Amino acid sequence: VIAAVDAGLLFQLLLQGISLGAVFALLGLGIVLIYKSSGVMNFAHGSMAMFSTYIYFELMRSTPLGVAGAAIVSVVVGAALGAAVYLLVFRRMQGSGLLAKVIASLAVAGLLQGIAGYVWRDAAQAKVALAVEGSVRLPGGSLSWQEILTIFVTLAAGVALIALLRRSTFGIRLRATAQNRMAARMLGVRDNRVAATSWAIGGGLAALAGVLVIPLGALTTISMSGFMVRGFVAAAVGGLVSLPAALIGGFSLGVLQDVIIGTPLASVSRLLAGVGIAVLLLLRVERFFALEQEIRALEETG
Amino acid sequence: MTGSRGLHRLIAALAIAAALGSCALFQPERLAVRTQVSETMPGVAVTQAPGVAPTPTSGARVVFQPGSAGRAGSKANYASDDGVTAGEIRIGTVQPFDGPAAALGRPLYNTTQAYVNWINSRGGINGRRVRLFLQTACINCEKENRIAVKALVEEKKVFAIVNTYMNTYAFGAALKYLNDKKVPLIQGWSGVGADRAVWGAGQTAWNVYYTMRNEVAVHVYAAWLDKVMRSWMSAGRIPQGDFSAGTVSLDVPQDNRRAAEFEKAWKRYGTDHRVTRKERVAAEEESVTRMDSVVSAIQRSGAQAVFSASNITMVFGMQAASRQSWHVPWVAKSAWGRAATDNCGAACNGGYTDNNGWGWPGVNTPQMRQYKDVMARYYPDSTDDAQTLGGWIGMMAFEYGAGGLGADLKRGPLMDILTNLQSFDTGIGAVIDTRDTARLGERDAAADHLGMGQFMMLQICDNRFWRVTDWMGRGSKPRMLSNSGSRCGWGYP
Repeated sequence: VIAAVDAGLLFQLLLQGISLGAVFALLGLGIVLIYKSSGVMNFAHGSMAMFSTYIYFELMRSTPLGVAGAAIVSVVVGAALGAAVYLLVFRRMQGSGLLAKVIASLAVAGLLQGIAGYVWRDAAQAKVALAVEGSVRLPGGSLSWQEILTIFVTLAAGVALIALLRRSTFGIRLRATAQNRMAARMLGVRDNRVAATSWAIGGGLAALAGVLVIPLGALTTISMSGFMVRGFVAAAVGGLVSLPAALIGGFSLGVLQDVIIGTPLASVSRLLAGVGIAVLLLLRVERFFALEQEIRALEETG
Repeated sequence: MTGSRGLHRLIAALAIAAALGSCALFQPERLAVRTQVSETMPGVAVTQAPGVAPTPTSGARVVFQPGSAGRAGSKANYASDDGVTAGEIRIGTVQPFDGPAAALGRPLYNTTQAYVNWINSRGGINGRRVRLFLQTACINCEKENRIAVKALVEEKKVFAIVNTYMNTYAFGAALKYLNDKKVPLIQGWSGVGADRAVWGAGQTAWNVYYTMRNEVAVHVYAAWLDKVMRSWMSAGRIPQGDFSAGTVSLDVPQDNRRAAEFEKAWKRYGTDHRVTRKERVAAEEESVTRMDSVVSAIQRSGAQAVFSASNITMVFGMQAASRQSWHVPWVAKSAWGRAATDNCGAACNGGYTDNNGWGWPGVNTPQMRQYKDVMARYYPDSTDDAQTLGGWIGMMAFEYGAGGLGADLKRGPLMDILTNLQSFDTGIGAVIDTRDTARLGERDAAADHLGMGQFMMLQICDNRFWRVTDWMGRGSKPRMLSNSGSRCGWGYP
């Protein structure tokens, strides 16, 4: 097996895997934040990303905003969309079980796909402009500037989020809400505001992921479905509650997924991915990243 | 408490597992099946008397020009079969109208409807006006497609189904239903193409469509790629004598088989023609999430060219190759559609694909002029591509067969005509020959009713398709047209 591996190819795949993993991590961060604040496993996350990316596409197509302006507006729209989804749907489902919330999130996903499909029926499969063109040659490989940008944006977002949760009042309130919503509420934490803010940040992160990765392919109403599933896997590494674990999980998944192509195991990569996830769940690796109390509280209130 | 936690963990695990499983099974357009079939445009009153139709003959080329259909005779029209009355023929079509696949379904439907309108403006077929009924269905959804054709046959009593987007597996159940009911399925257009390894002869008795079979097409792809690579070698753009190629396919049986057939055809050119890497991409979204890595793997294998077994893998593959500044020749199966030009941009400049045998709008024949006139009248915002020209050829065949039967329009005799065409020239696409023994000498090819032995190679350049060859079939000598107009020449500009 080792003899059959091409080291140069592995390095190239490693670079690309880091970039791809950054997208999984961005989505994973949003999924974790939303789950922590509201106990919702948000299966509409990919659709929220898709919808915001259509906004970006429309702005690029119809306005002179340019890449930066369109990206900022679409992230803001993504944040507003996240807050709106919480306030209109999930705030009213606080007493509902996890399964009901999962089904509701799937319904939101379908709704967003339907709306986007209707509104942009003239662009059912659209090409979205890259934020930055060109690529850079590295020893043993190359990487496009778009991919490099994705890596740095993800790292910046991840560090900023972790800092926000650890050092700000909002972070303390969010952690308190996640660990014991009732107690937090009794202490004056406005849990709905915390949750709405978290959904807004999650929606913004989803938009950012879409704007960064969709230009590498094509924009359709289901463009982000596969990414979202992998975002969930990244989030699951930390039991859906740990931001650092989501970052690590996302990057690891991206690297593993890509590097395996350069090995003789490529043909069974999907089987290995499934086995890997099952092992993660069985070993409960989230215990290494998150407080048992927080995991349990969310499982019980979720 | 412990039980509750366990339950929640189980639900979470099941939800993630279900979501992962949906990667493979995801059917984005699975919306509610519309059981109500709608007639989408009114028919036009009969205004002309029928003409005289040519009938298939043995040996001689039959040149068919729409408008000449109709068998003269004293017999009055009557209700000769289900869906046929003295004054009307009911036909149906099934199309995806939601999600990305709508870009395939809508042009094909609009073209079919335009042709129907045109028939009716000419007085119908033998004095019978044609009514087209539309049923929408998700392109990948087997049950929806079956329900769709069932609704057309049992509720709307259609005589035949025309011009579906026949994705091999998703349409399998519908095809079985149509065969059981002995309802013809007639189409110029099909998404992926059925072949005998997928369906047996018994399953396709009532199905006919006109395109080129995969195992023949791969020989043309191989010949063309060889030609392109030699040109690149002459220009010093790839190493002399290195005919290493990679293949990439969507991980579905028909694509994988096409890639394997290409490899066999490629190796027939000699030991220096090698396939150094065979990559499969699992699903549509993986063609984005993994394509950079797939292309890297092909590049690192030493490949100097790529054969893509589907349009999707070429569009995303060439973009990934462009990002990696890896410029080599690409040849892909059937990428002639706006998906390639709209989504790929300059990254696809120099890529080659084929026209499925469905002609080229630049061909100057009376039939092509008819096509353009009618499309300008009934479907003015159309783009000439695989959907429109393929759908047009399907309707030409239907008009020819139905017209030839005159008052006695019946399903069985119609299929007899359509599956026994010999040297049938539509003036639009390649000559059609659906008799089993006449298909390029392949006497065992009895399982399907394909019928074209030739196609043209097209080049993508500057977001447009350019015709770069004449008709090519197995054994043809590949030659690039000197007046193709493309500035990409043999490769990238």
